[in-house]
Amino acid sequence: MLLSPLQRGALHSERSRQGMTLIEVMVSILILTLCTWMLSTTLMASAHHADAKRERALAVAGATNLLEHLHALPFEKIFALYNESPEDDPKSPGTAPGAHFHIAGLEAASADQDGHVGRIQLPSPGPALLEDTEDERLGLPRDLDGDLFIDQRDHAENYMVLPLLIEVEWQGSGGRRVFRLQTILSGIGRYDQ
Amino acid sequence: MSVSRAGFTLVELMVAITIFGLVSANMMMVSKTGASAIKSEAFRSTLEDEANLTSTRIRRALLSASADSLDPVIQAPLGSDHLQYQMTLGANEEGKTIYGDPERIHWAADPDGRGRVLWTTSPALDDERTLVWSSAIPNLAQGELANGIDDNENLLTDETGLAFAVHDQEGLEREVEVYLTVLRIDPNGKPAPSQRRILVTCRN
Repeated sequence: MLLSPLQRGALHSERSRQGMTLIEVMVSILILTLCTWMLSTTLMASAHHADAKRERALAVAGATNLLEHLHALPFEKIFALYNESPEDDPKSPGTAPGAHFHIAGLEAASADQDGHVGRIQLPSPGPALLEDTEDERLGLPRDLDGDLFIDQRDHAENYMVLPLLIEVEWQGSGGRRVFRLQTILSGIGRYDQ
Repeated sequence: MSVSRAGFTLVELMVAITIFGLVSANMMMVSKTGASAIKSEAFRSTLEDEANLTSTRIRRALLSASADSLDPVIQAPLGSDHLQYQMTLGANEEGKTIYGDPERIHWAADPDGRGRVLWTTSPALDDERTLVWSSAIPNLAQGELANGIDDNENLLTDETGLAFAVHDQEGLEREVEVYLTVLRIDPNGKPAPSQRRILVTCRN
């Protein structure tokens, strides 16, 4: 059907006055929302970065300070002082620091049962020190007394190496965070040996 | 005959301008807040870096120090704003220990009321050399007031922004406890401190 120029102009004018469809409006809103969400996420992540950095520095310092303190102790007493069991504490039961510790400035994770941010994991919870336990993170089973054998006896009194894991878990500004420090202490060459 | 004219009515135009104005104002507010947050974030990040770097330098220096060479050996609640030490280099043919040149980590006041952490090798000798490890150390540690009381409960009284205490207990190796406060003024003009506690057992 042929339209006169006047009719075509009227049709064009009618279309231009129709505005946007509902789908167009919804897509626009969706794109705008996505852009706003991305911008706010970036800003939030940026704002949490310094807090996360400070928290991690505190966790590293706390774990390193504890490790330094272990170096100051007589090597043969470290297991009895820092295992989970209070029975074998050198002075009297319940007097040793034990496996859990606090770091000023860090808050324990909400799911943490003992309420401390830090924990030392030793080859066994005590009072017996076993070298045949299975623990990949500590490199067990392993010969702890230097007799070249892995046996089932208690080595709490004659260990020569002591693998340990210091774990710091805290409720950070960006959620639950964990820092782990794994090392092996040796009594060989120490002043007290 | 009436001719249809495309375009906006005055009401449409005003509504559009109002919405555009509101959206623009919001966007400006968001970008201003974002810029401020990024500026603040950069400042705090730099502050934490400075505290970390300075504490790492102190820790590394004291790790290789000879426990017998520490001077002064001051225990809590007293503290010292300086510590001198020597590294053990080995032993001579007679079995005597050979020490390196004396080194000193100390706090020094600036004319503006703040202070610096300085590391000096061969202090008071001809080849004395000094490096600045940090230039934003206050004359009192974070939370501490000059009142003769341990306000920040770290067992030291009225300590400076850099404070050393030596733990010298029977049956234990000598440990050095260091408290470091780095203090700078943030972009909003407020003092922003960052504190570190460093514990080091001298290995030699």
